[in-house]
Amino acid sequence: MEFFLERFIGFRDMIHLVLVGMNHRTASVALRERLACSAGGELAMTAELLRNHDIREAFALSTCNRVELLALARDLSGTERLLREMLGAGADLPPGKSGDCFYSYSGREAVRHLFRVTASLDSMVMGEPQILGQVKEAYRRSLEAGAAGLFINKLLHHSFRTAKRVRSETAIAANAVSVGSMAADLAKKIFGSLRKRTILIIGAGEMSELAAKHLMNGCEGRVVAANRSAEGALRIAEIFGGVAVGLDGIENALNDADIVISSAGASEFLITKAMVERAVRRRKNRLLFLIDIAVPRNIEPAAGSIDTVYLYNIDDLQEIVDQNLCTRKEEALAAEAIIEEEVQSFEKWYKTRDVVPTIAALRTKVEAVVREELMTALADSHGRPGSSIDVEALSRTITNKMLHEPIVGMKEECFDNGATYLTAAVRRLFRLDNE
Amino acid sequence: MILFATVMVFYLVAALGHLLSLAVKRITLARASSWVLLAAAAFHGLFIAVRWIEFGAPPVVSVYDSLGFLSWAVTAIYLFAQWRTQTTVLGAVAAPAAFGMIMISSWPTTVDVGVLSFALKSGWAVAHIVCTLAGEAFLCMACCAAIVYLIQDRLLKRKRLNALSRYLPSLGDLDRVLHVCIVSGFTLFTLGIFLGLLRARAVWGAAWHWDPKFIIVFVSWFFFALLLHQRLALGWKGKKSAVLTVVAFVVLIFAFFGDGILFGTIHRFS
Repeated sequence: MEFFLERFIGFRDMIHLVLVGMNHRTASVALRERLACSAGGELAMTAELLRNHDIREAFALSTCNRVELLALARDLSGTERLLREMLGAGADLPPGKSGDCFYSYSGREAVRHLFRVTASLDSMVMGEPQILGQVKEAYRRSLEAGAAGLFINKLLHHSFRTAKRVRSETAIAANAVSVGSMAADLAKKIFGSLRKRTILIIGAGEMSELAAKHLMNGCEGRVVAANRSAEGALRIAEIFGGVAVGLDGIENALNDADIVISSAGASEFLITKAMVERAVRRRKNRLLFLIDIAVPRNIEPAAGSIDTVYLYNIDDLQEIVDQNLCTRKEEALAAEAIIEEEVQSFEKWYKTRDVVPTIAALRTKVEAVVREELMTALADSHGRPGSSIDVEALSRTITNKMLHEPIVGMKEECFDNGATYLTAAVRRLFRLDNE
Repeated sequence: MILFATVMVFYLVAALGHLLSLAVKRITLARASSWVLLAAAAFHGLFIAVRWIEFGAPPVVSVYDSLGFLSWAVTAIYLFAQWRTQTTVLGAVAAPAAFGMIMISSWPTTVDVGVLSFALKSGWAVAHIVCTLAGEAFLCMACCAAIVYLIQDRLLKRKRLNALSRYLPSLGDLDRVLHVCIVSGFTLFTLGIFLGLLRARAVWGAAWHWDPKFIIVFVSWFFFALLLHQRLALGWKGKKSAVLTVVAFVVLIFAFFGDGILFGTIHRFS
């Protein structure tokens, strides 16, 4: 990292953090397909990175929407080139043609990028929850491969912490942004718990299947599938372990259903207001949630005017989803502020991590000297009248002991190199010029 | 009295906390406020116990004492309801209501039991008051739930899934609270009225009097009976039952406060 340069010149090697990657914004689907590698791919990439002797630690993340390679090495530009070549080769790109689809960051920019990725700020659907798990999984593999050392460990753990903060302190992931999860959210607002609800699925479309999956998520509900063709109904019924009926079974199924998802292709309404009114009477006014995601619509819109019936069509759901996406964008601003804070906090750890052991050693040493001298003085005092310690002599010996080594060291340094920065450092550390 | 001041402060803090949480829509704040309300209820319980010992009878006989008891009961019912269901947000209605009642009850008109009218000097009278008040507390909580239900219902019907509707409890949970409160409230209220009629016969010679208070209480009792019948027999849910709950409760408030303020009644003792 850059901030390393000034501080440790001459003391140790400069280490750089380099990140090269591509995501849904920079690369086409075709390219992402070629690069999107499995768990084995991540391992292979880290292994290949570690074969390079310059690279100390490495981390590879690969999901269907992004690939990120992260390396800790001495040679900044060389490593960047190496990472770009690796990605280019993986995507079957001719050398030198990778320029536009890959991005690269180094130092704190790389840290910020990783934090943003983990916190799902860089995702296609901002705030989606899967990415954190994917990064954790990739980190575990990097540990297995022996590619994660102190730095990567600390960096990844810090990024998990940041992601958790973003999730809990902002509403970035709070509201549903898909029609399916929106339907589930609404159902929860109507029924409270979704446990043991009965869901009627009309039509064998993918949309209703997806929405039903969201609704059935951990609620042990019962499913009735209705469809024009028997095999369609059976297929859906089989997925959710429910029963299949024909379209003429809808009227009956309405008696028990709490939630109806409809996405059948039909020219006339499959559920009319009169049908719902009859059902409401039979079901003693239990609340009924109707979701009509078919175009043209399957459920007569007037059915929504019945007191205990809540009818949402695809436009209603889409409108709320759009609003939620807007909210997420607003929340993203707050999230960016958290990211910035955490990047700084990581930087602080990085900058001060070397001084911590020194502080500890210094403290131990001073304590040892003081304790030893105090013990000696106490032992001496037993023979004296009144058993009093000679404080003046004690402070003198402690001073001498404490300053002996620094003074000798300064003198030697002065003799070898002239009155250099060591003297200046001592003057500064002890604030000798301020007094 | 320091204890009473503490109770007031706790109620105030809880009410403000709940209202603020409604404004910023943070459930953690509402939860914290509920803990404050729990503390308020505990101190209030202690206060009631102290007064009980002082007077040697349950401190419920004067209008102001009974309001204090009512606010304590409402708080207790709310705390129980939010413990059993996800309805912490109801505190935004219940806590200010409890605070309002304790505020009014703090007006200095202490009635000495020694000079109480003959009508109240009886275990029957005290049982009548306690049952009626406890019933009213349940019905008050039912009214709170009904108000929130109507708001949430309106938002969901108009397809406004905004921050407010997300923050408010679900219709299902609200209806459950509503139902339990109406069943228990109506039972206690009915029992209370029955005991009151018995006492009236003993003191005034006849159980029923064509007195404004009697009539208004009967009207509100009839509304609640109707509501309960519709809910149990026809499965009334949703808007209609919530509206009827609020209407019935408004009549009940009128019966409670009208006492000697809006109309004259023989049901007056101080």
